[in-house]
Amino acid sequence: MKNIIINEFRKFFRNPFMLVCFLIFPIIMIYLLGNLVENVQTCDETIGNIKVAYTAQDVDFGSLYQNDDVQFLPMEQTEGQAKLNDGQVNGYFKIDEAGLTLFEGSSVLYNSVVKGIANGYLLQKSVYESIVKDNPVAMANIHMSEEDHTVKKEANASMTMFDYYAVAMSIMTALYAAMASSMVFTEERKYKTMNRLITSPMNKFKIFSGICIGQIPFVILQFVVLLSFSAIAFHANYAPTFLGKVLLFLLLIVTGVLFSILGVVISLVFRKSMAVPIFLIVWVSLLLSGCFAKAMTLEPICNFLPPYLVRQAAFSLNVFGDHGPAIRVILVEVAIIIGLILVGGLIFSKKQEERV
Amino acid sequence: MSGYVSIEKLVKMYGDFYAVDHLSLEIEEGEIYGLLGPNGAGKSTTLSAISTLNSFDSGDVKIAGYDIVKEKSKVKSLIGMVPQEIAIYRHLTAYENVKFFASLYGLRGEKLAKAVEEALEFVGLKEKQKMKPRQMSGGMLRRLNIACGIAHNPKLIIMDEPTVGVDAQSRDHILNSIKILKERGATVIYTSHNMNEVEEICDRIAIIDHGKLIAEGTKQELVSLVTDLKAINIMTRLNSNVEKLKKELKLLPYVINVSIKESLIHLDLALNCENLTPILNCISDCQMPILSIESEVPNLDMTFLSLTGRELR
Repeated sequence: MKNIIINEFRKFFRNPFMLVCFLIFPIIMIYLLGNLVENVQTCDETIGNIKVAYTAQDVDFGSLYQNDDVQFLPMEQTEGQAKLNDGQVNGYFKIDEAGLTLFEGSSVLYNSVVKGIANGYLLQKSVYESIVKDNPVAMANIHMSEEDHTVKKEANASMTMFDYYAVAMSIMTALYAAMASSMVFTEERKYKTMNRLITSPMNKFKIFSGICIGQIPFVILQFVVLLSFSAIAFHANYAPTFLGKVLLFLLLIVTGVLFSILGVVISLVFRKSMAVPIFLIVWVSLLLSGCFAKAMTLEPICNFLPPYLVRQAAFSLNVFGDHGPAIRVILVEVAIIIGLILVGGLIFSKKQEERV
Repeated sequence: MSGYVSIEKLVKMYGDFYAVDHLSLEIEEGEIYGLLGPNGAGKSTTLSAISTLNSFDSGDVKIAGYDIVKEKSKVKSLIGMVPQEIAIYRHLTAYENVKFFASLYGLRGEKLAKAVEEALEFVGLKEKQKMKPRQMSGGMLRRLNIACGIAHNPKLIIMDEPTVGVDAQSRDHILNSIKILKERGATVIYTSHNMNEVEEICDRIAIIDHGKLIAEGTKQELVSLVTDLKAINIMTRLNSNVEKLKKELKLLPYVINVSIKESLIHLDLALNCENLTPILNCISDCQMPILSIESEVPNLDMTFLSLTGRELR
């Protein structure tokens, strides 16, 4: 198996086209998109005060949740919705017997804040209702805490569009690994070496695993070069802590390995080269995930797209130092990698002669 | 079944089409066994079945007593493949190619290095071991192809047209190498369209057509089957009437087959053809001089034609 892994590694290293496409091109993309687009878009967002209109028969939202940053304005539904449409308020609640209905504005950021407030209210309401139902006497013992339980997160405020594209283009590189590895079995067929592999006594699962593992060194090298170069030459900011940087590196590596192995399995299943379809599918999913332009993120479709999920995990890591999403994504990706190797190994073990 | 390679009633179908139709063969240990037949005869399908490249629908195939279906991995370790197409990695040097394929057969460390050196020396590529395929000639690629198939010292070597497209010098080198492999105890299954090669190196030959065994034996045994044909070669100077001449000769009675190459007209005639005058008149009528006439000793081409009614090529 060692020789198979070395063979795969040599395939990349002795192919100038691969080296240019997958080592140099992403660096160029980071530079171009980060620098040229920097003045066109910005990743800075000023939030300021939030105004929320509401209609509630028995709830004085204003006194419950009022603070310096959030204003609650009671008004009739038609007026509330009209002001929401005009952008005069950032959200509108309607609370009645049916429950809480939230009307969202056009800003994703404000909507997430308003949604958080609505969820907080509903959670509190359900706790009260449960206590009233089970033990009404206990209601008398409930005291409102005067402590401020809000959690302030320190964001990495030094991030710029350049940093945005450093991560986005790294994700692009990871996904395009599928394109590179989709040529693996296509070339084995083209040069007739596939038949030599099939007729050898070596366990087919071992051969296939060796081929998959052989993709890993190049993926690692890609990201070592990409991340180092962009950090040193372009001063790109990655995660604020060393652990965060390591986790980001690991996230990108595992994503790259996953798509590499996916490409290998695709090349095993399809006799013709799938490089072009893969290129198009990856390109579209990167576009809709906001990797080329933040404003092009297409909800809710993007929630199902791998680049968006990885980007969000990387974003949480880079901006807030939140490791959770990245760890979850890595674990899911590792599980998928194992599944792909098992499935691909099974397919390859049944492989017979292919005559062109 | 007692041979080193025993094939009994092998059947391979593609839909309703019999690619191999109840073929039975016995190949003895240490012999060079030729498999002859035109394109589509079933040679490659038979080789694919023996080499475990492809499954088959029914029949028994045993190599060194091991059943090819039940003891596949034992069988695979005995076989070395030299396919018709050059099957090597373009990004690896000659040395790296041989080393890679030999390692698939379990060779490691010093044994592997030694096997690679010996294989490259055997095919005459030791000095060229650092060259990459794009730097090699067709003959060198063919030899490298062979080295990749024999480096692990297989007991059974399957060679599918190993001299296609090579120059005469490389061809001779390859044929000599095959004879040495036999001397070392390997069993070789050899397929080719080139009668001369098959006659030169094969101990026994099987003629296959439409998936069936037509005849089997040594060259002498096969040629002795030809009782209804004889051949003559006529040297001439060709002119623009070649096609006309060919048409007219084919219309003559007793003329089974006509082939014209350079200055030579080769005719396969029915055995009872006594009078060559009509043939000679045809040639003269086409304004071609007759420089010499000689009759040809029956060969495998004639044998095949006699047995199947078709030319091998």
